[in-house]
Order: sequence, then structure tokens, then C-alpha cells
Amino acid sequence: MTADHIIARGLRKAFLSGGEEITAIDRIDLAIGRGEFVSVSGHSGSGKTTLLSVLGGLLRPTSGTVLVNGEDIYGTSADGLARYRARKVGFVFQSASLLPALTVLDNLLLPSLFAPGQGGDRPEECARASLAAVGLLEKADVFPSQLSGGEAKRVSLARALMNDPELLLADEPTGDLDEAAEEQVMAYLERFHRDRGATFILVTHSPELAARAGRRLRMIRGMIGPAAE
Amino acid sequence: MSRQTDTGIVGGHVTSLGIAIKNLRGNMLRSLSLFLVMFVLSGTLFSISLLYAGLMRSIELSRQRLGADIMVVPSAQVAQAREIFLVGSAGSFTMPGAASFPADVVRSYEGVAAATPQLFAVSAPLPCCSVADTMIVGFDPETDFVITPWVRERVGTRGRQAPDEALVGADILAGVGGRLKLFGREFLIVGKLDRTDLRYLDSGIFIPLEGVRSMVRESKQKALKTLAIGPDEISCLLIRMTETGNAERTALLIEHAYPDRKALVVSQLVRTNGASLAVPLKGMAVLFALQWAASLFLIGVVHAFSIDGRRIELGIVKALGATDGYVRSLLLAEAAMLSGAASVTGIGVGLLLVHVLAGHLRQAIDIPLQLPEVPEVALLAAAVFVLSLASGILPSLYSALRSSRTEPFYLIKGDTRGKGGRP
Repeated sequence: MTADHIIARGLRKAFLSGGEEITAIDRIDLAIGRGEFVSVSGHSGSGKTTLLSVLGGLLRPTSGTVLVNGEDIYGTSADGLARYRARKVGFVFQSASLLPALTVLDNLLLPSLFAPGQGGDRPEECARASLAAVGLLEKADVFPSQLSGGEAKRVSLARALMNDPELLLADEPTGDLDEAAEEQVMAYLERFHRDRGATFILVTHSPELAARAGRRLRMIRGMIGPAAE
Repeated sequence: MSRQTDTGIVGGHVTSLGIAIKNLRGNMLRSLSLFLVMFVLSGTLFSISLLYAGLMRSIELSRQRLGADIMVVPSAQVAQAREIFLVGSAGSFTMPGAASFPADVVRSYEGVAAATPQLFAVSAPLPCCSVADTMIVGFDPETDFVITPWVRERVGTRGRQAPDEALVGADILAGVGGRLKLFGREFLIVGKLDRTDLRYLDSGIFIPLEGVRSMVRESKQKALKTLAIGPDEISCLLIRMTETGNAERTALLIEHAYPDRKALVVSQLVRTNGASLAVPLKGMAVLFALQWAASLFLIGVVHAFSIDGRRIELGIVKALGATDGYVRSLLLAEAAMLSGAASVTGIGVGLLLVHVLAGHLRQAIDIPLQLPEVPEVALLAAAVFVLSLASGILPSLYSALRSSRTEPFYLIKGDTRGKGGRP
């Protein structure tokens, strides 16, 4: 195991709902090593997505710090946080999350717009190679509405890896896929994690998928701890 | 490798502009609705402005073409005089002339450069003429400065127009060399005036005073209708001031010396007339301003709904690394492109419509409508374009700012709590 890549200290995130404060995550202290594969499981509403969003720079915590490579990602400006997301993080969301007005190829090229040069000097070639890797090269010029759910998810996956992120965050990436598609997506994610040495945090309901991680964590009512074997 | 493709990719990169265009294409109904609103607003604003500028220009041209600074008319006939000179209606009225109101005395006033009398009569419809009633204007060729500057073609080289010779306006069909029979007396057309777009000049027949007085005398024997005009009477005295002359002061002096005369200062008359003609346009402008304000609100609402409907999309873009500024620029670029295109189209169609309908409008507003020159039209178009662009962008500013500042988590969740965050 390598040195800590991500260190979260005293993380807390609370939301106001109907005038009432709801704590989504609370007293989270967490250290994740560089290149580690960690799964986070738990019931709905346990705070998994909130934790993943806070670690990925999508949601500022109410209190606490997130250090990535020793730097407090929320200690910077909004633009600094955007740069962190563009250059260091690859997100795979629960839904396919493709932009409907753009073609598949354009969707893949979006990350290169925000972090030029990050994924290589020839983003279009890289995008086509990524599409080929997920078996969808022939779909490069179609729109998301013309893809099946599994295809859209694979495109979304390819886009997440376009900028060669050092941190891969996947939130229920196989939630709406059949068994075969689920295996395809997971194999692709694991290969990227293994080949590129990326830190991989997987949020999932599935015990089988969670079991594929090197370390398994479980969230209960906003707090985190090791999952029972 | 650098290339621009239909996919919005330049040199292997997607571009912000390409994405904005694709978003507009991808939301065709919304884009078309906003386009139509901006198109109608720009077109209407441009058309109204163009007409108003044209009206003002026409009024100023009328003043210049008339050439006189003061018109002295009978006090009781001010309204009819205004109709004759500015609107071009045919009409007749008289007042005692040289004996009680000598032009020489007026010429001696300080600042008066020239003064010339005119006598009006109205002829029944003539076969020669394109207008129903024809205005016959008796003028003094010796002192005239109103008619003669507009003579385009003249037969012969006589220094002085004979009493049985007539000059005709551009709307009179009969040409030079033709003959006119007016109240039983025949006149030879010796000259034709250039078009002035001033109906008083374009549709009139201009005869030396001496000839008109003969026609009046002979009408009693030769014409079906007798002209009841006294031998010394005139209809008006037109006065031109020197560069430094004060028309208002001179008018007051005349009115003081001749209480039954009204000395109309042409610049004031034109302004008053212009103002009365401009009232309907101004009324339209007020209604239009209200329509514009309502449209701005409507555009703002459409943008707000549209941007709210794209929150997840914007959240994804931000999650991929877009800055707040990028999201803001993207949304504003879309608004700018849409309103810019609509504005250009609106201005183009407005210009076309005004030109096509200019003839009808001339008749409708009863004034020689002269549209502004190209540089003024270009300036007007530029102003309307800028205003339309701003009107398309400003209403979307709030929604764009709000969305750009919202954290990606809330956008992706479709949460409308805005920034949310710390309780």
C-alpha cells in the first residue's frame, strides 16, 4: 500500500429541509491510500452519495476538511475546486448523465475542454480509442437518446476516464444494468484502476460488487466504519 | 490538425461556441419561442424608430423646401394655411394686399432678406392632373424665392415669365409645351418643377400674379364658376430672413403693425405640425415600451424555466470541471446568439416592410414621408441591435448567475435550493 491519497477529517454535512436540520454525514475520519480500491455500502439515505460528492469536490462540507495529495480541496476558490474536478477526478454517476444535445463523441470530449492536455494531446483520438475500448466506436456520432441504457452507461464510463483521473468515484455505476452489462462495466473500471494505479471509490448497494474491493466500508446514518466480513 | 466540424469540434477539441449552438439546436421549441419574441420586438422597435426618424426628416425637409421663414396669412385662416403649406391640401383664402399691407414695408424690416406675395385659387378637377383639386398659385416672378428654385426644365430664355405662362409641379401630368385651360383662360406650360415631395409644390400650377388676376377678371365672362377675388388681394406674404435675422421677433413686429394678420414662423409651425403627427407614433411607442417590458419578463421566465430544466445537465458539466464562469458564459452565449440572430432578422424584415409600405404610409399620414439616409438607418439598426441583444441577455442573467453559483451536487440532484450548503 502506498501513502495516503485522500484524508478526510471530521467531515460533517447537514442540509436544511423544511426548517429542520438533517445531518447526512457526521464525524467522518477516513484515509484512503493511493491506488486503493475502496467500496462504500449502506442503506439508502445512509450518506454514501453525500460522502462521495464531498470527496469529489461536488459539495462543500458543513465542517471538516478533505485533503487530496495533502492539499485541502475546499481551501481553494470555486475555480480551484473546478480545476480539481477537471484534472484529478473521474465521476461515474448513477444515471448515464450524458448531455442530450451533444453526440457521443462530443460528450467524451467535454472533459478535454475543461482540462486541455490532461488526457493527451489528441483528445479526439483518445475519445475514439475509449469508445472502442467500451465497444461503442460505431456510436461516436449518434446522440444519447439513440443509445440503450447499458450503452449510455459505458459512454459515461469512458468519459469519466478521458482525463486519466487519479481518483475514480463511481456512484452505483451498475444500478440499472443487467448482469452481463454490470460485469462489463465493473471489469472496465477495475482494469482502469489496476492499469493506471488510480484510487477507486465505489458506492454500491450490492454486496457482491462491494466484495471485489480491497477495503470495504459501510455507512450507517451518516457515520462510516469497516463493513462486517 | 485544425478543423471545424458540424459537431462543434475544433482541432480535436469541443468548443464552447459549438456546445452553445448545439444546445440551441437541441432545444428547438424553446429556441424558436425566444427567437420569435425577440424578432417581433426588434422588428417593431426598428420600424417605429425608422418611421419616426423619417417623419422628423420629412418635416425638416418640408421647411427647407418651402424656403420661407415666415408666412403672413389672414388671422382667421391660420388652420387652412397650415393645411395648404404643410399637408398640401388645396385651398384658397385672401386678404387685402399691397394697399394695406405693402411688401416693401416688410422688406425694410431688420433681418428680412426677401418677401414675396402669393395668391391662391382652387381649380375643379383637370384632365391634365393626377390630383382631384388643383391648387393655382399666383406668384410674383420678380420677387419669388419659393417656386423658381425648383424649376427643372424651362422653355426659352426669357428673363421674365409672361402672364399667360405657367409652371407646373411634378405631379401635373401635362408636360412643358402643353396648354392648360383654367377658368376660361388658356396658359402655356413653360416649365416643370423638380419633385420636392411637398404636395403644395408638387401638385400646384404656378402662374404670375398678373396672369392670375386676368384669369380672375375673365372668369366672370368665360368660366362656369366665378372667382371672387379682389384686384388687390393676396393670400399670403412669404418672408425669408437673412442668416442673422430673427424670425420670431419679425413675426411679432408684423402682427403688432397688422393686427388682422398672423405671421407664422415656419420652424415653429413645422415643429408643432410634426409634434401633432408624431403623437400617434409616440402613443405606439408607449404601448410598445409596455410590450417590451412584458416581453423582458416573459423572456426572463422562459430562461428561468429552461435553465431549471437543464440543472442536471449543468451539474454534469460542472462535475466534469466547468468553472462557474464557464457555465455563466455558456448560458449567456446561448441567449446572445438567439437574440442577436432574432434582432438581425427583425431589423431586416422591419426595413423591408417599411420600404414596401412607405407609399401607403405617405398617404395614411398625409405627409411627404422621406425615410432617413443610409448612415442614419445603419446607426438606428445598430442601436436596435444593441438594445435587443441586451434585452435578450439581461433577463437570463439572474438564472445564469444562480445556476453557475450552485454547487454541482445540488444541480445534479435537480435541487432548487440554490446554493444550499451550510445550514
